[in-house]
Amino acid sequence: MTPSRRGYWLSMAALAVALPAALAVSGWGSFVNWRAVNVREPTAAQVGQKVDYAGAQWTVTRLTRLAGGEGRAVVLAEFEAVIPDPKAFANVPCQIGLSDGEGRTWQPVFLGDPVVRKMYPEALQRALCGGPSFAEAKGGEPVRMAASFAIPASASDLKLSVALLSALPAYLSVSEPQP
Amino acid sequence: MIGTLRTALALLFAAAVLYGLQHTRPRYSQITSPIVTTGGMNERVQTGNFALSLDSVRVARALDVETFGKTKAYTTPGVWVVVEGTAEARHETLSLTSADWISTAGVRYALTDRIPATIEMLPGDVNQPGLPRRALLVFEMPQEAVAGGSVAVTRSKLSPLDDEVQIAVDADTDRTEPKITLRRNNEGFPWTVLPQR
Repeated sequence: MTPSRRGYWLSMAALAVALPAALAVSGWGSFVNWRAVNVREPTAAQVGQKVDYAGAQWTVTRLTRLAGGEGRAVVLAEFEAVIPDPKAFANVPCQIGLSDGEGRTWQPVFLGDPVVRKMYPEALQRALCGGPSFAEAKGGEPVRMAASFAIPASASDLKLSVALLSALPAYLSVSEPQP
Repeated sequence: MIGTLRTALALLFAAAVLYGLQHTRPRYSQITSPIVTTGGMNERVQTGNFALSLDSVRVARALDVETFGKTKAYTTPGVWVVVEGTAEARHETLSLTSADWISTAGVRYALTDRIPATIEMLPGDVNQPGLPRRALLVFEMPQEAVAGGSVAVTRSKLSPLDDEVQIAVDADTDRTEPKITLRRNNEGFPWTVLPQR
């Protein structure tokens, strides 16, 4: 094999390695972002169970379904977190969601539902999960939060999810207690 | 001689192909435009993310808006088109923030921003999966834009390749009303279009 031919084939081989490597390097950031958004790893817990998540101790104290009328139900979730380092949580976004066995997901109802207002008015005094509620945390005292969801009465296998951006892809998953 | 001719022909051919590609290349906005699902009135038109049906369209020369006991009149050199329907999210909570009227000439009219926010139109609604919700759309446009027009609804104008529903609206311009009233209800159903049909 002549030196020029050897150089040609070496270049071709280098290209076969360099091209996929360049694609992998340039796409890595996008892959990490995609994974953070789409791949989730649940930390399962039951209502009333204390569980460590994202550097705090969490307890979902209530996950109850209320009749909403006209084929509709309202789910009230109350939960609390004992945060050892409130400053570290002050600016951490928190996502709350409710999902069912069909893969549908609901976001909390803004300002709470009238049914909750009537039956659990104290729940409306609680803030949603997020920076402002964490900022009020005082050493060792639990931060109490609540969220309500409007769902079809037929929805089943409900699961509450609490996800802190700093802890993704891990999130807290709590199933609706079965009667 | 033949080789030179062949090369020249190949170059000409390549130039013609490149010219064709240049002039048929779709614009970026076309490549990323919404994926449209079409339908008609009283038909549930479903996309991957949401479903929409329209069941009422009314055309009027003037519009009164009644909120908290006060009435304000809205005049227009054209007409008001008030469309009602039902929207439903399919898999996740979402809002349908963009709604346009598309005339047969292809002109798009955005929802009016003249009426007060106390009359909540479709973009302000939060749609929950499995819970159909009544939707209100109010447009202001020239009379000639009404006939044959359609309503286009999407989650956002800014999301590339998002779902869009386009519903052909049978608006009868011969039945243009002198005036209709939009009343905000304090209880129960959020609004009423008067006079009731």
